[in-house]
Amino acid sequence: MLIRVRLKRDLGARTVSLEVDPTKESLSDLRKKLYNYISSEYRFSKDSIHPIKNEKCPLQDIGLDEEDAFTLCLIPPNFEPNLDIGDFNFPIETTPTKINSGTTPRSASHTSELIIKAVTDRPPLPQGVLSTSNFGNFLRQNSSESKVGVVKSDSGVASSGDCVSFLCEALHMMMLDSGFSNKKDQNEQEQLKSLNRYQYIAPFGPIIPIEMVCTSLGPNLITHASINLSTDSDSATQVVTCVLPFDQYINKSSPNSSLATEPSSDTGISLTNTSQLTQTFKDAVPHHLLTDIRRALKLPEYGTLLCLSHEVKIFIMSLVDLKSLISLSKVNREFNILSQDEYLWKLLFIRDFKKDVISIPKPEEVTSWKEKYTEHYQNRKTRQEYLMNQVLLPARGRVDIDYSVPINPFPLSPPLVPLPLWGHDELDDERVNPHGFITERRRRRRREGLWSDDRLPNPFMPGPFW
Amino acid sequence: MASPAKVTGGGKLILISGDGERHEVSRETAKIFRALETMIESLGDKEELVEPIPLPNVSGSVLGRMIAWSEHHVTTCSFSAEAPPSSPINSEVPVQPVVRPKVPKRRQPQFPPPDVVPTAWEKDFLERNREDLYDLLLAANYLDVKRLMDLLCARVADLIKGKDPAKIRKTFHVPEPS
Repeated sequence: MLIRVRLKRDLGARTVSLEVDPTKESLSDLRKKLYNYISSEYRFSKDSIHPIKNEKCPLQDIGLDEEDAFTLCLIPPNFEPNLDIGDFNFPIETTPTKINSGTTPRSASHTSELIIKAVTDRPPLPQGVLSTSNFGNFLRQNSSESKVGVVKSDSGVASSGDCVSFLCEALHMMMLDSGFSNKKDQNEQEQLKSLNRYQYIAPFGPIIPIEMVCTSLGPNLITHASINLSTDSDSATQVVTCVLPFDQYINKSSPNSSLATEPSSDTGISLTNTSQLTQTFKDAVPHHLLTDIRRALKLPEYGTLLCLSHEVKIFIMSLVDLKSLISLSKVNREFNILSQDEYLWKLLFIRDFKKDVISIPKPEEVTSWKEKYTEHYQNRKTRQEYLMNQVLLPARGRVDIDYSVPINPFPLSPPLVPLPLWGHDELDDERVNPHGFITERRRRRRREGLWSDDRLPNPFMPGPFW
Repeated sequence: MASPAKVTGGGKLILISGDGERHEVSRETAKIFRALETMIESLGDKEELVEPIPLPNVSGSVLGRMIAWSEHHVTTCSFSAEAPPSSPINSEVPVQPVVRPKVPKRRQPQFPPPDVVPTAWEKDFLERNREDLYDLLLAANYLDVKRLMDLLCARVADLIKGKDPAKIRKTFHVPEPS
């Protein structure tokens, strides 16, 4: 049957219709469906999440109680609804809803004129039976083979792996939430549902447990992690909330191929890119927390770029290009000091200008390697600019005049235009130079009185034949 | 009398990591760690070293990976310093090695490093361990494994390339300067 739920205020004041099977589903299922719908409609960004409890949340109007407060408060109060009203139906049913738990949701009393279908562009998650053992094994096989560190949970479930087993269980929970059933053992399902609190121990370095509370919200997995560390003199607590978009990593193309070899007929979900998944997760939660808390307590760095020794840092700096080196020197005071290092500039000089010099100058000859580098750099730059300007340009202002004599089509017949008897010069001829250009030769001849524009023959000049 | 193979590779060493894990390696494998090289050479023909070698700066899991690395490089022999075996034609005539007076060579920095192109296995190794880059880097620096250092440093440099300061701070969790 179709029930309609009115969303209020911040959620866009509209009615959502959801399909519910009252024989199977309970009120809590309905809630979960609602979460999925809402979270699929609205995109969360990491910065817009407010992990504050007991904040008044819009969904309380629908009839949801405080146990969901944590999940609900993750919806920021001032987000902008991304509505898609393209696909809507006018009222179809007016039957009052009745759910087998006996309670009618308050929303049923709200009637509205529009029923907006839940339109999501996200493809539905593949339906099927998910068993924990398969899934965990699969994840572990595909992840890095190193089995280090321990993920502990409160109820004593301990398993190995980086973050993978943690993620696997969290993902499993999410799958159960979004409608997957676990036929094999109901107990396990119940157990997993209660298991949303984990402890993570970083595999390397000093052992500090991190407590994680993990909630699923549609395609996203929201982790609220806290760490507490106390030394002799001081103690500190750090909290971080991270949203992990899971549906990027679900293998949509061939969900069953990876598990096809197993004899069981179970269909499962396969994940792609598990190493990237764990990397993002580790960067977002445990590493972040560990580095932060060590800084808060002013302990030495561990597991970051800063923990390396100066020589290694300089070696790394000598491998990057100049532009990145400049931006690296702006990161930190330490890096700024390191970037002035003489040895670093020597390495860079040898790297970049080894071919330009005959021999690498001896250390006695060089006062400052950085200055030497700059000098060579400037030289190279000017040389390149000079070479760039050496492109040959086409000659300008030149007009091509056709001085050639037109071909006589009748070579044996008398010329079409009679040639003058005297004073004739091939170059001065109108036919030869038809445009009337006054050439240098003509100008000279006119000055000497040998040639005029009207081309009257000079009677005093001897002709060519007599 | 011990055969020459046994002298070089037979003896086993026991390495103990910082958190107390024991790893048993052959001498040839341990020679890849340049930090241990002189110590192993000074052992000479002794069959076995009873006393384990403590490596306090390396954790157990990282040491396991380092051993995996060195075992691979011992078997492939691609980067070991040994001379190539002489050809079979010349093998009957014993070649007298020319003894030259040793001239102390002026140390030039090895730069630019020989183009660091990882082989398929090394690529796979780096891909598997990319989450714990710095731990490996620290261990490689401590144990003085040149090739691994080059590859890892190139990897870090790749992460730095083409980024502005804010982005670098974000990728490497560097706190804002006060």
